[in-house]
Amino acid sequence: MVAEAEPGPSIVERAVAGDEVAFARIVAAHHDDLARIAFFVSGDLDIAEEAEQAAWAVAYRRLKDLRDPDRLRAWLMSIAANEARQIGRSRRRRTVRELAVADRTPRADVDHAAMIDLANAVARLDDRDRAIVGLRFIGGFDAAEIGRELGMSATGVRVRLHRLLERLRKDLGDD
Amino acid sequence: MTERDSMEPFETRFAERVRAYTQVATTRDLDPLQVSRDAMSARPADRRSLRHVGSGLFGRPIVGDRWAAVAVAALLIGVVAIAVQGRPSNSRVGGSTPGPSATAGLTVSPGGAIPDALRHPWQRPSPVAPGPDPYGSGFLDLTGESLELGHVSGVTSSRSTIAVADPDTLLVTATRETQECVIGDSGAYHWIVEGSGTVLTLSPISSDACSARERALAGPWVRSDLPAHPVVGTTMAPGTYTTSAFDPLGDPGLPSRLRYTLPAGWQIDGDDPGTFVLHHDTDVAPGKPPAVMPALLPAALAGPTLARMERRGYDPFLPVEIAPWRRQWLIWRAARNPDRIAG
Repeated sequence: MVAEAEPGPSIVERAVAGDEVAFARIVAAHHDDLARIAFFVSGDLDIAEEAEQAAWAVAYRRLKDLRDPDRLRAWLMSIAANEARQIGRSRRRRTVRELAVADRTPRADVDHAAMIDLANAVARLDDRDRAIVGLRFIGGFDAAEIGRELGMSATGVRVRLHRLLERLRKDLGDD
Repeated sequence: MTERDSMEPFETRFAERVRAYTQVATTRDLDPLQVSRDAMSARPADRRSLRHVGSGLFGRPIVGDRWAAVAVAALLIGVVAIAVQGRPSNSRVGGSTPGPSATAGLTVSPGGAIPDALRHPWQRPSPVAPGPDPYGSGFLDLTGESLELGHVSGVTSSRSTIAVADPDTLLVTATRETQECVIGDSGAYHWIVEGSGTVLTLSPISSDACSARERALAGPWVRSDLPAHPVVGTTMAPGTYTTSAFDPLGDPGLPSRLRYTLPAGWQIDGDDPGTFVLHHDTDVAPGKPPAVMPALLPAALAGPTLARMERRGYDPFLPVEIAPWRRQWLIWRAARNPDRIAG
């Protein structure tokens, strides 16, 4: 059986009241989104995993402050992006990186060259821009929703996204 | 058409690439109930700092005076320590307590800790007599608080919390939704360990709410963490392995291991903190017995070490250190071609 998303007010209220099963359902429903945005912002699987774990703790603590349950998905993703950014910054200060040797078998159906190009292009963006692009293309949110989560105006997000996409289009050679 | 679903062709292609790029992050196995419990039990003091969340992505820390926070924390710790010392010795201080929603369909054990005899990885016994295998393959990992069960570790396995109801009874509560199981499904099992602690037999006391788990869990199990024969010198089956002792970074503060994938015909000649040596069956030089080759391999370091000693500024009172990765590389090359031992 697969856990289904139940983003309605009832499940949020139950989670706020301390129902661990309700919160587990929120976790199951939004795990993929949080993992994706954390990885997109950090570019590192370990950081993404740590960021998601930290994000759930923050989310539970602040869940009672979420006034509009319809915002739950965007709110959770912005927390994960924030955690990934902060953990990534602290990790970059270290001089030793963990080695990953033959960790996974390459998938035949994935264009690895394209993935490397994308990873490099994304890595050249700053943390804030990666969060904007991630919320747009992983979360599918519009400028107003992104702006609400990031504390920016919708117009500001729109302009920023336009410039970022131009830059990414150029970096990826997609003219 | 809204902004949300109106994308230019490049944006559509880009969105697809982003989804493919981030797909790897979603393959991690996650136990939602465990994550939920961890999140609920995490306190703000466990965090790196207290931050605004939701009021802006890049909010400033809300803790201004860290010294004041430290002083308050120290005071609280002192008060708790005094309170703990003043309590009777048999009181359960610091023990696990049920989560805030333990009443939400989950059973909590009053019976104490899981016996050490059970806290091992287990596997189904191999049949010793001809005929059908009644239990098939499978693994069972029992820890002090959870149980994982399945055919292949980590892949669609069933996870549950465990608790002691009676001295010989375990309460099992699902924490992951799997086929025929939902979170919170519980069952009780009688257990007995025999054969000097090597054989565990589980029997359902009543019908498990998760029938698939009952089918998979009931019956005999044997410990899978008993000492194995040393692998050094034996030809490895193709597959992915992890070194047991070799530490490529050589940093006690950052212990690390090397994972490697072997095709057929490879042997391990050495696995210690400083070196890890593999060689192929066909690598052994003619005329030299294979058994002595590992003993000769460190001689491959002599040439580079002497070369270092000839450099300007060599201090005879300091040891000559070759970087761990270079040392590994030299020994690996020597194992591939023993003629390189002599330089």
